[in-house]
Parts: sequence; structure tokens; C-alpha cells
Amino acid sequence: MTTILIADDHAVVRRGLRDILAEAFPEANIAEAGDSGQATQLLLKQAFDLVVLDINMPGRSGLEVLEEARRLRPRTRVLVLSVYPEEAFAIRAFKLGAAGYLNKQSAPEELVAAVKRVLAGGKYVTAVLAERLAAVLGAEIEQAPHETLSNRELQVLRLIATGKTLKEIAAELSLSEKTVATYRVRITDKVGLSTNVELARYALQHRLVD
Amino acid sequence: MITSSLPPAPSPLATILVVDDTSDSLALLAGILTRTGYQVQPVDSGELALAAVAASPPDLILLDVRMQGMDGLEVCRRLKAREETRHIPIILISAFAEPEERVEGLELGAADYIAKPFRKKELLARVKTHLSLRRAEVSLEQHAAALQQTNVKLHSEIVERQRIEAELQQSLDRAERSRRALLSTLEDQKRTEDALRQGEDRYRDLVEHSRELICTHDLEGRILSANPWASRVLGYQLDTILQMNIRDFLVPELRGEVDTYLAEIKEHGAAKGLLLVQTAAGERRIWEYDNTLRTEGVAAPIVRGTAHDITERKRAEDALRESETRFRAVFEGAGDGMFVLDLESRKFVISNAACSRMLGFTPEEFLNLGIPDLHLPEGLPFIFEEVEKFLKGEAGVRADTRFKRRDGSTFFADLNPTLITMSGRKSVLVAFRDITERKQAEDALRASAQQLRQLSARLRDTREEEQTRIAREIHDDLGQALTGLKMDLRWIEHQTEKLGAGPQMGAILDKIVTAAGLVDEIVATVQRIAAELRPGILDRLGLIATLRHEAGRFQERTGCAVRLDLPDKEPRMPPAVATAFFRICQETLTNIARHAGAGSVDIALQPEDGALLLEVRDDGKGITLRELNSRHSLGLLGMRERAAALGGEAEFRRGPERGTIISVRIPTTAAEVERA
Repeated sequence: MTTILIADDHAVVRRGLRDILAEAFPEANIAEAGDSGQATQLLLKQAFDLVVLDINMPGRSGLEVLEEARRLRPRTRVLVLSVYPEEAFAIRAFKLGAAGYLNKQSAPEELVAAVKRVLAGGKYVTAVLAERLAAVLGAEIEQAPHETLSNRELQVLRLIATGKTLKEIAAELSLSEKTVATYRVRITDKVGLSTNVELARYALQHRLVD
Repeated sequence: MITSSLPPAPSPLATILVVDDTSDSLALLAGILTRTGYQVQPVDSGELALAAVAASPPDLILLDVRMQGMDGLEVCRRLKAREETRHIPIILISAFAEPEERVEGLELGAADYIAKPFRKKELLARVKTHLSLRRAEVSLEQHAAALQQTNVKLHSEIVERQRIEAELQQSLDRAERSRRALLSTLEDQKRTEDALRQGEDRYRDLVEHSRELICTHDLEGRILSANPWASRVLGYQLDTILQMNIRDFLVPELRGEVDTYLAEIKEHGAAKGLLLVQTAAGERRIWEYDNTLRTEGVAAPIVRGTAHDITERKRAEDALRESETRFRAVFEGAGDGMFVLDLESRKFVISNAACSRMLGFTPEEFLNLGIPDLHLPEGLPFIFEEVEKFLKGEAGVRADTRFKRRDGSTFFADLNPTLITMSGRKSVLVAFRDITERKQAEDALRASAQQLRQLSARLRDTREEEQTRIAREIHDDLGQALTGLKMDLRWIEHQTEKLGAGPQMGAILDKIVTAAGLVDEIVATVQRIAAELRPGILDRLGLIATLRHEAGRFQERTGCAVRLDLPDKEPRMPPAVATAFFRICQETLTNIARHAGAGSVDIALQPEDGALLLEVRDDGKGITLRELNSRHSLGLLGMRERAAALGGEAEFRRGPERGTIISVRIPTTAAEVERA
């Protein structure tokens, strides 16, 4: 049974995270900690498979909890959540042994994809961040970004790849054009591409379309 | 006056008395001498010889020694014993001349001795010789007499000249010495004459070329003599002057005074003073005269006058007096305290009324003071240093100094020293002004500025704290709440998608997606506001990470390349220092974006002796001097103040070619802050 600890000082966020994770991993055992002290205590008591850690907690910072977790439970994977968009935090987090780094604003699918990847022993960064890190670290970071797409987003990507306009897609999916446009923005953010041609090529390469 | 020619010599027809009691011998001698041209008087006894000499003294006597009755030696003795006849040369003649007899004769005063039989030539030669000798003697005596006469005349001249000219006295002394020498030789006389002539020439030359007016006048004021200088300075021909009266030379309104002057000189024999002269050209000059009356050696009393022009001196004296009066007026009337210090003796020489008023010492007391009486002990080294500088001729500087009053109280004065020469001594004129009020105002202003600065720093700190707090609240509370909200929306979206498609569901999904998009926008705004208020990265990751991040954002925003030279590890520093560096860098980048038009920016941070040095240089158009000094450059002032509040400093300058360089150094250790 998978054990997950959510460490975040905001109850609203904790609840949101729990909902997302509970749905994706129904059999998982999920615990919560409201501050860094609590998180450390729980880590002392119990070995978790995964800690979803808010970097920005009152008292000792999330980064210190990260160090503590790595020291107390070297096998425990830590996925760092941050409200800071800056890559500097990501680099710091990875140096301290984080397995993944994710912006809190990311879509639930991304969170789920990240948790899956991290639990499988891999490392996770978002596509945008990966690009920046690559620039900073001078290294290629391999990604399969479409893992993070929601079903509906995947649907929209396929339709774009077949050459349909937003209007046609909207009609087919019974959605407003604006919503489809929003979906398209989410897709480009997640896969790190911007034009329809690029998106179509991406879909073909990853056999997302026939 | 002595002439150079000698008095007339005895006639060649010299009278010779021949004495011999032997008639043949007498006739022979008389014959020889008569034929030779002498006038001969022959006598044949000693008694007759004496009578002949008494009746008419001959020029020479030939005297036979051996005679009946009175012999030749006796005759000789008698003649030599008498004043009137002792000078007549006597030649003794004897046939039996014993050496003793000859010696006796010569000792008696005989001029010569001839032995019989004599040779005619010898006789004549001896006679001639002794006559010549006698002539020379007579001539010498006549000269002496003439000189004696000259001497008397000279004497009166010398007396007169002595009064006028000391140098002449010397010449006359020499002449006097020459004169005495002249008595023995003719050579000496010549020298005497030369000396005299020289002396007179010198005396005349002195008078002729004197730059002093020299004249004589009688007791009516008529000019008797005057030297060329008189003509030169009065502007009249010398001839004309000799026809004038002294009153003619005076300015018209003072001519009446001449009588008073003449009366005075008559009564006292001397008069001196000033007189106002009018020259031929009508110019008025001031003269100083010193005249004496001469009554001795002159027929009528005359006045010896000397005078010289002192107009220029007088004017200079007047100007000096006027200047002195003016100086006094300025010095005494000055509102500033003034005194003069003699640099060598370090004594005060003079002080003014303001000085007395300000310091409480009377001028007399002041003169007895020393420098230490006027200053506090701690101020003395500076004062003495200044005095030393003045002695070396280095210019003194204005300075603010504390003065001590008589009652011990003190005040601040603005000291203004000037090097002067007073009575030939190196002195310094010191003017000072009580600036207590100004000083107090300055102190108050300084204190006020200091307070303002502290207040400003306090405000800045407070604002920074406030911003940090607000940023955290917005970011954490608002941001997290929004994050939660968004998660919920995505959850709803997800669940809705699962319920299947259809126009109704599509409409609901549209709303949900729009709401989620709105939340995204709000979150972005909140994060931006929070970051602008206070970047969380600074507090959580430190200065280096923040500078990197800011540089990246700047590059993205402006397209201007940023090169960084930062330490790998975050240097240790108090949070306030990190904040200051960050804010200064932020402000600088904003300035560059706004004003510089730069293509690239270099940011370097490096540790340096307990401090950190930040340097930001751009390649833009560069800051101008005016911008640097402008009071409106509040941004630059703010940066300076930020650095100064932490014991550091900020410097702005133009780059070597273009652009602007900003250097900020802030201590990072307590010791450094303390030191700064």
C-alpha cells in the first residue's frame, strides 16, 4: 500500500491535494501535516513512500524539512510543491535531494503524472521548467509531457493535430470556443510547444493520432 | 699766498772781508778776490775786522789765524758769539796750521780752513762754495719768513673751512704737516703746496657739486654767494640769484617772515626750520634750512646757509600720517575684533575696541596677555601650528576657533589672519567675529539633518518590513487560498468531464474552465504584486539567487544582455545588508532601463575585507555631472543613504568610455560596521 504525506500549512490546499491524489490513487494511505514540525514528527514515526512538500511553510522552511526527510528517510521520495515560479528554487530543491518539483498552480493531471513518475523512481519537472533548467544546467532533460495532459486536453490535441479549427473543435465537443482556447493554452504549456504545426508533429511522433 | 719762485739770492758781487796783518798777504788775497769779481774789504787786524763787520756785515770773511794783537781765533770766537754776526761764514787761513789749531777754529764755528801757502784755485773754490752755502741759507731763511706769513693767512682760512667741512680739516692737517716738513727741505714745501691746492679743490668741488643748497647772505637777506645746486632747484640763473634777496624765494604770503628769521639769527647766531619756497616756475616746495651767523674773520657779519628740499619726504610723511589715521579709524571702528600678534615674541602689539568688547580685556591688559590666555588648552596646538606656518611664510587659513573671554566663558569665532610687517617685525593681523549663533545654527541644522536621516532610514526600514509582511500575507494567505480554489475547480472540471458530453454539460464546463482561468490570472497578479513588494526569493534563497533572478527578468524584459560575476556561495551577511544590495541593484536596473539606453550590463559582487562590493556598470549614454549633483537625483541619494545607514558607501561615476559605474561597498561584519 502506497503511503503519502501531504505537508502544507494551508488547509484548503491540503484538501485539494488529498482530493486529487485520492482519486488518482484510491488505495493510497494519505496523511497530512499542517506545518514543518508536524511533518518532521510524522516522518520520525513512519516511513512514507512519498512526501508532497510545500516549500513555503511557516517556521522552518520546506527546504529544511526536505533535508530532514532525506536524512531521516533516505528512501522516501519527496515531491516539492512551490508557489514560486523561479527555477532557482527548483535547482535548490533538486540539490537537496527532491525527486520532483511542481508549481502549485499546475493542473491536477500534472500532479498525478508527477506522483506516478516519482513513485516509479524517476524525477519530475514540468516541461517549461525543464527547458529553463536545461538552459541553466546545460543538460537535456528527457520528457514525455503528454503524460500530464488530461483526457479532454488529449482529445483537443488530437483534434488540433487533425487540422480542425478551434471553432470546429468547440462544436464537436459542445464547448465554447473560449474554453477550447483555454485547453489549447494548457496543452502548449504542458508540452512546451506553441504553434499548431508543432503540436501536430508532436502528436504524430508520439502516435497520439493515427 | 705762497708762490713757487724763490726770494732773490745775494748779489754775485759778494762782499768779502779779508783780515791779515801781513800786508803782502793781505794784498795778494784782496787782489785775487777783486779780480774774480768780489767786492773786497781788506783789514789788517782783528780789532779792525770786528769794527768792519759791525759797520757792514760782509758775506764772507777770510781770516788769518796768526795775527798781532787779537788773533784770528779770537775774532772768530767773538763773531760767532753774537747773534747778528754768527751766520757770516768764516774761512781761517794759517801758515803754520797745527791740527789742534784747525780743530779749535772749526769748533769755534769757522766754516773752513785754508793752509798757507794756498793755491789760488783752492781759495776761490772754497770762497765760492761758502758764499753759495750762505746764499742758500739766506734764501732758506727768507722762505721761512714768507712761509710764516702764509701760515698766518692759512690759519684763518683753515679755521673758517673747518666749520664747513670736516674733510677739509683732514687736508689742512696734511698741509700743516707738509708745511712743517717744508721748513727743512724745499721738497717738502712743494708737497705742502700740492696738498693745499688739493684741499681747496676738494672743498670747492664739494660745494659746487653738493646736492644741498649752500649760500651766504648778509643780515639784510641779500644773497652773497650760492652754489650751482641753488640755481638748479630754484630755477634762476646763478647770476640772477646773486642779485636777489632771500625773501624773493619765499612764497608771497610768507615773505614777511624773513624779518623774524633775520632777527632770530642776529640774536642767537643760528636759525633752523622749514620754509615754503617758490621756484622761478612758480612751483611751491618745502625746504628745511639750518643757518649760522659768521662774525669772525669777515668785515660784516654774514649768514652761512644750507638747505634742502624735503617736499617729497613731507608729502610721504603726510600720506603716511593720513594712511595711519585711516588705518586707525578702520581698525578702531571695525565691528570685527582685531589684534596684531608679533610672530617672533608671540606678544600682542595692538588691539581694537571690538576686541576689548568681545574678549572683556582692556587694550592695556590685552598687551600683557599670551596666546594661551585666549584659547582653551585643546585649541592651542592648532593655533601654534598656524603661527609656525606664518613664520615660515605659508599663508594662513580662515578657521573657526574657540576664544576664551576674560571671565572664562568661551565663544566660537571665525578667525581671519593676514601676514603683515609692523615696525619691521613679522606680525599677523587677526580679525575675528563671534559666530556662536551661526555655529549653533549649524549644529542645530546638522542635528536636524541627522534626525531626518535617521527618520528616513527608519521609514525605509519600516516600509521594507511592512512590504515584506504584506507580500507574505498576500502570497501565502491569498495565494494559497486561490490555489485551493483552483484545485477545487479542476476537480469539479474533472468530475464534470466524466459525466459525459452534451450541450448542457458543455455550458457547465465552459463556466468551470473560465473560472479556473480567472483564478490563474488572479494568482499570477498576486504573485507579481507580492514579488514586487518583496521577493520571497531574497528571504528564502538569499542575495545571489535573487540577483540572478532579477538579472534574468531584466534581460527578458528589456532585451539588454546581463553578465553576472557573482560568488558561488552566498556570502554571510546580515539580512539588512542583503536587502540594501538588492534594492540598490533593483533601483540601478530600473534606472538603466529608463535612462541609459544600454546594450549590456555587468553586475559583479565580491567580498572584500569584511565587506561586500557591488559594482554595476552599463554601456549606455552615461550619467552626467549635472545629474550626479542634482538635488532631484533622489534615487541616487536614496542609494547613498541606504549604504550609509549600514556604514557603507555608494559611488556613481561615468565609465572610462561611456556608460555609468555604480559601486556600493557595505560592511558585512559588526566590526566593520563599527569601524565605518
